[in-house]
Amino acid sequence: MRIKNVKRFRGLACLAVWLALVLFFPIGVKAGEPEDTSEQPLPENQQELFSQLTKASGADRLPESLPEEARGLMEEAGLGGFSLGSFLKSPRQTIQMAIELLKRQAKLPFQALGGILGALLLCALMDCAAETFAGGQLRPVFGAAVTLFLAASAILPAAECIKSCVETVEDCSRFMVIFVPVYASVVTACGLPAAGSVYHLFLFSAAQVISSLVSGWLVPAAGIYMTLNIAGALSPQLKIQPLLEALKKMVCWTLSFLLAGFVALLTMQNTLSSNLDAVTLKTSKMLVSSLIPVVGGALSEALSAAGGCLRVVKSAVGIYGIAAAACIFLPVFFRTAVWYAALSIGAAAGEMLSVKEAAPLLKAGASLMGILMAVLCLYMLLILVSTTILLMTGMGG
Amino acid sequence: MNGDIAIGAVVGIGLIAAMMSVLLRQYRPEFALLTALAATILIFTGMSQWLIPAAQRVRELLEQEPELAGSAAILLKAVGVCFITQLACDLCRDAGENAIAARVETAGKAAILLISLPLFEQVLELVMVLLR
Repeated sequence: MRIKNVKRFRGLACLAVWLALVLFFPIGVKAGEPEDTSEQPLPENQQELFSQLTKASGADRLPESLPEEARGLMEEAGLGGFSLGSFLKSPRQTIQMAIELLKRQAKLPFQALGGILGALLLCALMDCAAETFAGGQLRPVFGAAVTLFLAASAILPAAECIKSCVETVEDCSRFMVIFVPVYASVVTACGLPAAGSVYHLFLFSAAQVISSLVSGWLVPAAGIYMTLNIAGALSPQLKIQPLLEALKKMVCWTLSFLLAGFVALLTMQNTLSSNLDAVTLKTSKMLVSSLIPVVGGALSEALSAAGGCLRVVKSAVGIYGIAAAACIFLPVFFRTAVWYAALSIGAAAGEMLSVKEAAPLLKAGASLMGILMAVLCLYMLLILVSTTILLMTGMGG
Repeated sequence: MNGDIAIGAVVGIGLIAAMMSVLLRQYRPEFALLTALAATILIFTGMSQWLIPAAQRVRELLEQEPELAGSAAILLKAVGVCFITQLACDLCRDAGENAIAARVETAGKAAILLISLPLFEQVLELVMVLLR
């Protein structure tokens, strides 16, 4: 009995010591890191071939055609040169870069918001002490002075953002003039001639239409819209708000219709051209393998292999184009979006403080920013959607 | 606590000045006006220790936008002109001179419009840039 107790005690003591060791002296373990092949995803001989093909297609000259700001962003994102490894960055780096860009663009608008809130506070104080400061007689005159201050606060960003929007559209059109022929030629070389020519024709027309829309119609309309809003704010008896609302709705409908029309046209044309290209390719392979004796089959397989190699270049050029378009548009888009937020907050503060001069003017400024964002989105989406459709075309073949 | 004492002092001065004004109006009406003016100046001097930090903070907010820093001074001047004009109008009305009060009010409006002229020119320039 005594021996049994000693044995049991020894067992319990060993268990207690083991538990103490595990709890107080743990040994850390972790999974092994996967090998980082992002810098050189292809074997060396294929990397050399990739470089030669990009040089031959003219894709290595694309970075030079970018505007300064976009080139800086591409270099920050590690896409300064044209190499396959640079496209395999992690999403976290991209998101961090986007957040840094947003922070840089947000500084000035929120400083201006401080000024707007200061003017609104002054007005609200005057309203609270109406008997002391005005007795109702001087308040309208002071209100006119505040309206002028708010008008200057709202027009300044409007003028800057309109100018930036026009410059961005022009910069992007210049980049498209270089990028579209390069990409279309790569796509044609991949055995998709119909898709390449549709893309070439479509994107050039889209760039032309949007450029002329922005310079010939949007800029004057935006100027007239802001001017009429200021006149309406200074003279409330004019009652031009309904006219301005109608003008804004017309612009939004036109932009939505344009985008829907372009995407529908592009999808239809791409569907037809991709079927045509598939038939052309299969027919060519069949003709090569049946008409050429002895080596016909091998030649047909070689065609497929060459096509596969060119598809890597096609994907790389397509992704570069999408990234470049994003880098051209994003700074201005973020700047306009932050101004939209700042002016909307100012308008909401004006309504909360019952400053009747402020809300319509600041809301008009915010609406204008919204329209500019819509135009930038329209152009950016056109490029992204059309390039992505072409990227996906012919992937299975 | 300081705020409570200060408001107590302001209320006390106001009530005493009002009573003195009512008494003096029966014998020497001109001194009633002077009593009202003195009480107003005294109360405003007391209020200024509250108003100056608040005005400083509002000025800092208004000057956040570097392009419009000059315009902030215009707005604050306009507030000052409103206050002084209203004070003068109220004193004139208390003395029974409504016509003089109305003229002072008109002069105040003209002064505010004159002070705001640079703002108006700035907005006009910006509008011309937009329309061009």
